[in-house]
Amino acid sequence: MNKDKMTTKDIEAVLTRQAAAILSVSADQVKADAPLHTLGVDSLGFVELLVFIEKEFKIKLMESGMTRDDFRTIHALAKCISQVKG
Amino acid sequence: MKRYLSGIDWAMNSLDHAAKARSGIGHISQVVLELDGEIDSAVLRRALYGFLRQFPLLGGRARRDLNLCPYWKVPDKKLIPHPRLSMIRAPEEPGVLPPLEAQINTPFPAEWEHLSFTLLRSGARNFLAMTFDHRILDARGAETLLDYFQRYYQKNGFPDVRQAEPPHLDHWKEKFQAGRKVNRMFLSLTREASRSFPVSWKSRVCKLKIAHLAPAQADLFVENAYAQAGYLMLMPYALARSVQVMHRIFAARHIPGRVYLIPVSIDARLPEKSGEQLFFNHLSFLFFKIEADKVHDFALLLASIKEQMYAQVKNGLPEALTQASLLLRIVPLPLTDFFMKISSRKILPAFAFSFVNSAYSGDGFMGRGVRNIFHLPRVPNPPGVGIFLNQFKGRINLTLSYLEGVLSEEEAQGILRELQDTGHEQ
Repeated sequence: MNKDKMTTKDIEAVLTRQAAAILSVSADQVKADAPLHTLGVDSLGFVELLVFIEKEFKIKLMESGMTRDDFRTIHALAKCISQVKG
Repeated sequence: MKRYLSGIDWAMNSLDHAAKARSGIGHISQVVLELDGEIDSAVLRRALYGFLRQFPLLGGRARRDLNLCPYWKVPDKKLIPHPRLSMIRAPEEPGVLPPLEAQINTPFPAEWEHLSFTLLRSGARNFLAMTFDHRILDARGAETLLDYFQRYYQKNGFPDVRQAEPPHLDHWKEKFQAGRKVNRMFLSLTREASRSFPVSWKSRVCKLKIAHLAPAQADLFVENAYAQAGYLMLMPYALARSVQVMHRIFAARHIPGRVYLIPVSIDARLPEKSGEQLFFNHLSFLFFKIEADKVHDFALLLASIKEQMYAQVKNGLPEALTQASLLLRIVPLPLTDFFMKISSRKILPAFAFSFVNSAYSGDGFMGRGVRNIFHLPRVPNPPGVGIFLNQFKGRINLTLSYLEGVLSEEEAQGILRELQDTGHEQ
């Protein structure tokens, strides 16, 4: 898939799969609108997710202007990545 | 039957060998369940035997194969002994900690024994403790074993547990590349002299202090962590707090050195196989280097810990460490202790640290509710001091484990009090 043409939904699906892999659960157990801490993501899992986002979507998170609220849920993250990628 | 050992398993065998050589007690730990009622010891004994005899490796021992790869010699099923189960009634004051402390200061009676169980009662409080050999279980593995036992007891079934492992005698180029990466990291860590407590090679007795943060206190701890370190940054926050607390002890004793080196153990289970990875060690490590003269600035300290964590995860250092450690399996156990002593003249960690989430999925155990789960590990020597945190059902447990003589009673009480206060401060 061309990553530049991905919709928010596509990004959300990619992030959901990755979060499921980090949490060792199936993707249907990961709710995109649930706060990450309620899914069981810890600090290491969160950093793994951030590193994945940087590599997968070629985004420099530190320079992207993303705020704390943008990291709360997979849905919020996907929306924000979509906006950053323009 | 053979079960080949990974590099991290061999490192645990090395720690165990070194610990036995110095103190007669291996690298052991304990997981404790606080229950809301008593368990019938006869029913527990019978059920444990039925469950544990499915895993003959619990009666095994380490050996080296003709291909030089170390392996775990798994005995025949019928040789599995009945697990040891003892019952202790402890006075309400000082409670169950002294008998639990005694458990981790008692060696397993035979080379092929790796588990024992204790039922404790103190006043109206009830506990089940499982003492385990760290060579065959890590902390999450120990909780998972009890979780699977509960599922077995309820006749619910549990995932297949992998008891075989290949020797990993291939892909040498990748292993050497990983070794180079790890070596570069260690060189960067060891440029400056590190602060550590004087090593006491003969220390035998491990002492424990434990504090439980109830859900309201734990919530405040989490709130503080999110506000000061960022969303989900509990481990970096707890580590930063621990560094500050330990720094005060080092400074008061005028222990020389420019930096603190802190190894942090992390879970390294492969996501797709985590249910199967019950036995042996599925760990890796992050290594933090903290400049002693910057510890007072909490925001700077937190930023440094987060940056180091991010850089190590991004560079794949935990995976490289797992790969590179496979190369170390060639070193015989008596030599690993020798190398450890040589290297400890130059580089020593300040203290060991970990922060784990619970792997126990159920609410009950043999018909009793589980109120809390905490870990009481015997800390490796060196460093002789470790701070271990775990979360269970909204609670946070803090364990300080240290070898007698490394910290005074007053210092140990102070460390625990200050860490506990993190759950009180606004």
